[in-house]
Amino acid sequence: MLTSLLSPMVLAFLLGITAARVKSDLKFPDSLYQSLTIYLLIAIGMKGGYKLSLASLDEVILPAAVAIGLCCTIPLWTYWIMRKAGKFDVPNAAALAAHYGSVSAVTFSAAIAFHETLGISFEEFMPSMLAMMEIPAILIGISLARINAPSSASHSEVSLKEIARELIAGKSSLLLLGFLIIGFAVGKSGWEQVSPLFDTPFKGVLTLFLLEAGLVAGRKLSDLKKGGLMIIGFGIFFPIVHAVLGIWLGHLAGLSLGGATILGVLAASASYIAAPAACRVALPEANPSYYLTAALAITFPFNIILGIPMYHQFAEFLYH
Amino acid sequence: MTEFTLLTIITEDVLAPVIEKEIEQLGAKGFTLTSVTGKHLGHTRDNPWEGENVKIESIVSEETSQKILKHLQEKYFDRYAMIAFSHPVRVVRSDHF
Repeated sequence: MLTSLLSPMVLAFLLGITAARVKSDLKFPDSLYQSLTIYLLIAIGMKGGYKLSLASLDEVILPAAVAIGLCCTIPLWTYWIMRKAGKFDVPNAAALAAHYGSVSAVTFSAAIAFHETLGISFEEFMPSMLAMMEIPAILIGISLARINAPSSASHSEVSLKEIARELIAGKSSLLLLGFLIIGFAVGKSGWEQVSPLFDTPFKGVLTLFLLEAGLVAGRKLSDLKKGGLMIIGFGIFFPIVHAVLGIWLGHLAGLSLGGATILGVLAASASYIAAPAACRVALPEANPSYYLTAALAITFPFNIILGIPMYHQFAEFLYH
Repeated sequence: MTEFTLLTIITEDVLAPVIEKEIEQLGAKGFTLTSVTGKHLGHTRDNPWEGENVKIESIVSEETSQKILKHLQEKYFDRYAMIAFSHPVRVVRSDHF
């Protein structure tokens, strides 16, 4: 736990939160945030694609089935729990389900960095799971809203097909999938040509990104009172339950301890790039104060600071 | 110099692609889009994580301006952060608008 807390990435994230709380004038230019996002997505995708080219179909197929199963079912029970226990209305429960079913590339990157720092091996094709898990849950969440409240469907004229097109063409999915394919196609020799840019500096760039992420999460902390205690509780409860489930299913699917932990982190993470934009357009009745606060101000910091080392401890317990 | 109406719409960036298409369908021949930040009713939208605001400006006839404002009011005002206003402007190259 201490090793994780004392990593430059986590400390930069905490510094970002602190800077926001003391109202520092520190601010990243938008273009830098966009550039860092693009870099991280390319680096994750390309390395994942190259490692996928080294793996056999047998190694990948079961974990992939588990990953797809997780991202398709998490929104279903998240929606149900939010409706029954959280007493949220249909659009808000559906938006939260979409966010929690989808995944966060930066939380995933932090989990990769955590394992590399501790020297724990993991299946390096895991970025392909990240790519698979991003979109289905968002579409399922939006569909849940339309099925359960047909009258509100008329409020948004955007079709599910158009939303799916926008999600696939969106930068996170396009870069991740595109560079998975490129990495897969170019193999070792191609990867070695670009690894000085996309491998060695990865943790440094992630540190920069997490500083910016901390600034945003720190500012979002002020919105916690708008979200209420329920959102804080769910924002911690869901990632823990999903991580345990992801690790356990990853174990059953034959993943190593590191691989199962990373699958758990994917299940535990909530989307804050693709899902908020899609929900804002498709579910305008859903309140961003709930889903953005839950994903950005609670679940994201929880996973980065405490969640990843906790999930690792659980995996240790399960495997030994 | 010919008198036209400058229509200004400030709204959430996620809506920009849809609104661009709609104002053109309603008669605008073009527009200028700028990223902006700001605060309204206590809600600040100033970073790409939470969404930013855009300002869409278009020089149109008064009739087109009224048509667009009515459409925006019916479709977006109650569910999205949006303000829209117009004022008269005098332009050269009137055939552009």
